Amino acid sequence: MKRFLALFLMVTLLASCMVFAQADDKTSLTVWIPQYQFSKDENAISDIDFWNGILADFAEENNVDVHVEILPWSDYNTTIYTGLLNNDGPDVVYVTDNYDLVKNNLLLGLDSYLTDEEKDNYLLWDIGPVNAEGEHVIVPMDDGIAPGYYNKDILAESGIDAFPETWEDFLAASKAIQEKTGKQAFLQNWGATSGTSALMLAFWPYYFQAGGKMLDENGEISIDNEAGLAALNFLKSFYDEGIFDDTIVSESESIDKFAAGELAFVVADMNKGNTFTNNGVNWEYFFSLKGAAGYGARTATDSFAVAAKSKERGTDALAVKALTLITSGATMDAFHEQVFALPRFTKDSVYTNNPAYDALVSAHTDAVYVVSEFEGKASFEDALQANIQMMFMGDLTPEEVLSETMSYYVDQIKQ
Amino acid sequence: MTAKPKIRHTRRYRTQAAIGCAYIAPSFILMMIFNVIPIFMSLYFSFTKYNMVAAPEWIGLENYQKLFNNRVLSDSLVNTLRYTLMTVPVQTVFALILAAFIAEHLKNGYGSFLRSIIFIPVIVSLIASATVWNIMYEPKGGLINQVLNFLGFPSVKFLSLKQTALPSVAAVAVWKNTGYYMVIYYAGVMGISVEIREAAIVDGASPIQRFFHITLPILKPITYMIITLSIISSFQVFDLVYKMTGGGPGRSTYTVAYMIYAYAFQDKRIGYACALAIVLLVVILLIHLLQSLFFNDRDGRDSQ
Repeated sequence: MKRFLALFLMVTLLASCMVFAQADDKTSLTVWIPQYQFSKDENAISDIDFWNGILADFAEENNVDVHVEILPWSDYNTTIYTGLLNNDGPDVVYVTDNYDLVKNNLLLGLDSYLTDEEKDNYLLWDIGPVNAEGEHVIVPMDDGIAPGYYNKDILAESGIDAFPETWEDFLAASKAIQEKTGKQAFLQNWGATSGTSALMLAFWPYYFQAGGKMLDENGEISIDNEAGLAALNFLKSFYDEGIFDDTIVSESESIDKFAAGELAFVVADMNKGNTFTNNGVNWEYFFSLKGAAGYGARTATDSFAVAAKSKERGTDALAVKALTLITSGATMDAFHEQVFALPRFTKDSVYTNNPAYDALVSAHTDAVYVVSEFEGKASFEDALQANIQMMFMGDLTPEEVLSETMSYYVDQIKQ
Repeated sequence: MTAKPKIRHTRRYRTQAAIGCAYIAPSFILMMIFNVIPIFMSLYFSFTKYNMVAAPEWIGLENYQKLFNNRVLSDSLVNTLRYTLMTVPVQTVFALILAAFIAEHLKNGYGSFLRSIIFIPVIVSLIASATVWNIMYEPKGGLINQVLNFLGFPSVKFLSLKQTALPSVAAVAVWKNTGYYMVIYYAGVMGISVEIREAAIVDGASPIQRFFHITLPILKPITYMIITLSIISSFQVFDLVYKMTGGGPGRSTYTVAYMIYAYAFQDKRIGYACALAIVLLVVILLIHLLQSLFFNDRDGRDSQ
């Protein structure tokens, strides 16, 4: 009986292995994309359903198994870095910070796979980084700026006729609003203690408004300059004037407050207008504040790319084909309509954002600054955020924030 | 001087030895693969420049030289030490008192129930615990501040102030770990001979005297083990800090393990992170050595 059982188990094991071996005969393609569906509406399509729907016909036409994996944003950059190192990692991947991926040749050069017409269709193709062979490795997409919103009723209640766009006017108006209405004037998530993005989203626009450039003439990050000092002093004045609220640790808290009509100014992504309208807020966009050098807003270019490892796996051509489908105007139009609205990044896209947003951005195209990629960016921003928070806590002066951050970057981060 | 007699092992002895080796082989192999070999690999990587893509490049002591000039490391070490001092004594004392109390006074269903309740935090996922505590610590509407307000105290920004952030994280660790150490202590208390306790009672020893002169000395080896485990886990604190404060505000909760994570996975500087891990290992070993000396010294004095 025992022998029979052992024989049976062995046959079963062999049969299973053969089934798996047969299954492996079919080409497999893995797509990694982060979560973008944040709607709480129960009818909203999920990320996985959306992408599976988009790629179903592709899989059938090309006789390929497409595995879409939706990844959380937490540690996304680390996840894809380690994934791209592995032989069984993703073929097509959504990329955030690309410096290390490009430097270490983890992304496939796309120039030879795409036609000139396809390249020309991508609006930001030319600003994408190139690998050692001079080939473009990503399809950049515009994340859009985070515009400001102001509550017209609160401004009117405070006797303010027009949006106070200069730094000085904005501070004065904020103080007046708090004094006259007792409502909070301006919130950003200054007190964020988790993740670097929160405070950095707030810092860079002021830096650009003060005339700062992220990279110097040698392509190195440099913020220890007059613009950096001006931006930090402006941030500090929020604290000194009692406008700062360090209990706000997430973007949603300030947005909820604005949606409830309890806040005069807020900076949020371009999609929040409907939420505010639905809550009965009488709002208007503002592009950015106006510093010594004029307006300034930050945007980032996330992107789609193909893993260099896909060439070793023999899936490179198919992966690029999937990439072109994913980044096509039709797919992205559907994505922007059903999942998350972003500015279009292909010429054949017909999706339009909120017309007011488009008008706002097109009126200030020269004041939109793309956040640069550089060595050790994540740790640099980590250090800068920690030092800015230490400035708010009274441990560092604005000058010390700049010098400490840069010396730490040169001594400890840059290799 | 006589020659040492040569021992001849019987066939049965050799067979039993082989079976014994076979039994421990799986654990031994796993420990070698996941514990021992990585330590030596880390030691090797700590002398290299390595980013997981290109082959490691030998750079000698450069990582260590750089590390000893790292201002953030001293802050992190101080934070880690402070965290250890906040957690280890508190959770050890709590665990001991609870175990002794339950063993002494609640040898019934209530005691079992209380033990289970205290043990629940141990089995809850650490990230889930951190999330719930983050909500409880919220300055506006958080449970703890609601209680404070109810009692007439103002709200406290537990995780946003440098004075309160680290103690707040440490409090979560104490809440989470006390149950685990209590169970170990409880087993120790229950192992104390009934005759000894009865003799003490006959001699007129009060409960407090019995605790300090019988329970505590007998539990000394367990206390030593618990303190050792606590110190090691406190020095490795990462997940609570990562989830609750991200090292902030400023660098007030930045710990050495968090630094290792940032260098290894944010910057992809594996060599530098490994050098830091080796430094952490040495610090833990030194503290363990001091702790052993302290306990051995006490043993020596006790026996005199």
